[in-house]
Amino acid sequence: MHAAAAFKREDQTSPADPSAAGMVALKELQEGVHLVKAESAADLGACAGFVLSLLAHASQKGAVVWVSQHYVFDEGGSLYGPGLHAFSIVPHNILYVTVPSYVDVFWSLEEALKSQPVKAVVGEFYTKSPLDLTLTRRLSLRSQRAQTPVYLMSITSAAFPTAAQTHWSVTTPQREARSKPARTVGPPVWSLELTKNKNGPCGPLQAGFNTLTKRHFDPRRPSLSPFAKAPKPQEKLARVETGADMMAKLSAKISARDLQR
Amino acid sequence: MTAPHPKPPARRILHLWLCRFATDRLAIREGEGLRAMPCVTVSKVKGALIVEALNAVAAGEGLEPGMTLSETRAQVPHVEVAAADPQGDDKALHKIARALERYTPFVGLDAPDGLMLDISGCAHLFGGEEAMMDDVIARLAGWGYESACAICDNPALSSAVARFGGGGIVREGEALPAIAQLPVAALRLPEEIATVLNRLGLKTVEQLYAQPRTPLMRRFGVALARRMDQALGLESEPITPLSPVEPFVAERRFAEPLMSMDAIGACVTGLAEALGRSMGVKGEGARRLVLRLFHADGAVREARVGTAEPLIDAEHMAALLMPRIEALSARIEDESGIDLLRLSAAETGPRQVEQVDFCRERDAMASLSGLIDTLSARFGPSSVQRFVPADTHQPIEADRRMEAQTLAGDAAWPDHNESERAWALHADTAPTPRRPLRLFHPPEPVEALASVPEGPPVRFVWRRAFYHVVAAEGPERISANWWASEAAHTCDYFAVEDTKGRRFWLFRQGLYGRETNEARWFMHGMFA
Repeated sequence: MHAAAAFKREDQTSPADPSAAGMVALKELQEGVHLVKAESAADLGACAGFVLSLLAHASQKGAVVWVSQHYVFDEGGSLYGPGLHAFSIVPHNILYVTVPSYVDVFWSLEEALKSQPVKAVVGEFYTKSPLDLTLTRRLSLRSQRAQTPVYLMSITSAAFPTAAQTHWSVTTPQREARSKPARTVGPPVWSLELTKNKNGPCGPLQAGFNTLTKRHFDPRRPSLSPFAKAPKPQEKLARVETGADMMAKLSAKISARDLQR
Repeated sequence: MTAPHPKPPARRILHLWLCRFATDRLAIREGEGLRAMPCVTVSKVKGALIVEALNAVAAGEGLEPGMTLSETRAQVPHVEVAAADPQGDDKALHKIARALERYTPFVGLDAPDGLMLDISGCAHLFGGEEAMMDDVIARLAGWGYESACAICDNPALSSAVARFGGGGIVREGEALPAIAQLPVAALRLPEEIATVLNRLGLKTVEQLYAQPRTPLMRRFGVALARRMDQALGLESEPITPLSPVEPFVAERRFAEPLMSMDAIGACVTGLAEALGRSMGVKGEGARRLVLRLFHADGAVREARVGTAEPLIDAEHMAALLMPRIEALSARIEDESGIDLLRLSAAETGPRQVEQVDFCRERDAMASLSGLIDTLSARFGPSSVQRFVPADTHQPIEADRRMEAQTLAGDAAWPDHNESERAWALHADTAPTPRRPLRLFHPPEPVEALASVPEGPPVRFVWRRAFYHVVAAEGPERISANWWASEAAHTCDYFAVEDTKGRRFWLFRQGLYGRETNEARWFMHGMFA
């Protein structure tokens, strides 16, 4: 009960408040290069949703460039304007670019980072061969110079070296099969696995997204996830703490930097 | 007292006749050896092979167009024969016309083997009409074509002088003496009229003009009178230019063909500055730029780029054009160099003078025009899109995207409903988005099994993989627009979640009983 209340309070805090420890990992994603992996084309919806949830604020303030390789476009469908709108993204601020090859994706992202008013860039690509490290290194340097976050989305389950700050694999929480389908689907939720982190430890993270408040929340809150069994209080506490630990270093970093400014 | 109104400058038309076009083309293609041999092209007319065109040697042997092939072979046994290629000729003529745009923007076709150039006011740039005519003939000879040229006041006269009078320059007011002794066919009369006139003893143009006009018109119709008037310039005859005339053009000629890419790049920047200046004073900017590279060997290459905003900035123009020129660089450096560069604004738009607003930021996209241009130039304008709201319930029609370059003004989406937001905050639940983030074009068929006919699916197979549904919302019934055809189906949309938690947007096409007995299911999108 108390834990639930605590989460509720966090949910309402402003983004700059460092006390929202559980969500700091997501705040940290607001700069640098990040790679988000989808295991299969069917996960591309969840993957796009997670990246868009990080862009919810950026898309209000300025332009977001979304570059999609034709292969991804064919496998996972194109971005859908009304869907973006329902997801609290401002669709007219998104520049949607479709390109033939993954090299073109990186070229376009670099071009986009040169442009001043761009608030964030996203690239979706697919490649069979392992990615050339130079591509992501160049991107990372440009991203630092422009102070603009870059999100890369790739259909792969393989681990390969990149110059990205973090690697995430995005899946959705599993549900038990029922004889009769439930009547509601509920808000978007993801089970994220942080598999690489340059600035701290890795680990799993459960996150959901409230499209009205444009904030992430913890889906294990009973009132929000009607299908999940309510976890035992101890287990829940322990997991929340690991999440907090994981991101503590990052939050300290951010607040130190904020103070410097 | 005011000065008398100056007479408008005379129109000067250069008619270029490629006398041996078909056989010259053959010689260029098959080898120069053909020029020394009698050579004819033939085409099939009513089952017989008839000579269409022949070269000078063949003409010297006494051959004529219109002879049958067997006759030709009997007369000149060693004649070279090739099939006529009207499409190829037409293509080649177009190519020559493009290359001759270096003299004037007004180049019209006089198919199958002639070109009209409106050179009013251009001749002095080439050292006068005589020099210009020699230059044209020499240039065509360099490319391998024999030609005859005439410069007169109107197209009809030029054509007559070039094709029947051996070419030359006819000054103003000398029209009648110049064509007096030419045959009547020189007036471009239909074959049957010319034949009848000849039979009546009216062989030369002079004899024709000496006749009273009314009986001639009564006998031969208006067509003859019009041709007679056109030749004297009494009735004007327009030339349709091959490419539309562009309002802003900057060009640079080189005495020696240019080979190096660096030099070309520098010239392009210079031209862009000149073009920007000329547009700037008129308050216009370029929306579409065309750079033409005229090669010394007659080839013409083009680079076209579009811009998101009317543009006068030379640096920006050069930055857009250079990647295109570099793509051609290998060919430029291998082949003959470039002796004329022409940069024109094919489409212009008024430049907006924007007032600085302290309170409001500019539209995020308006300041992105540079990026939009770069990406559009590389991947094509249709690859760079923005989302535009559409007031419709149809999911496919609602997916409106427009080229970012052509989208003018704001395409603002409505704000989310405030009351809905307040209610949701109060209710402490995160809402479920109603529309998917990704959409498939077109919807992909799935095999689905529903527990009740009208209900959501329990299982489905999509792309040969099996999905078990654990939660489903719906149906959301979207029927076709009433003005759509009878065959259009009503669709029931379901948001479903499978055991792995992935969310899909499925629909069943057709209402049971009323529209169909066997409903088909489709995968239309994916939610987050």
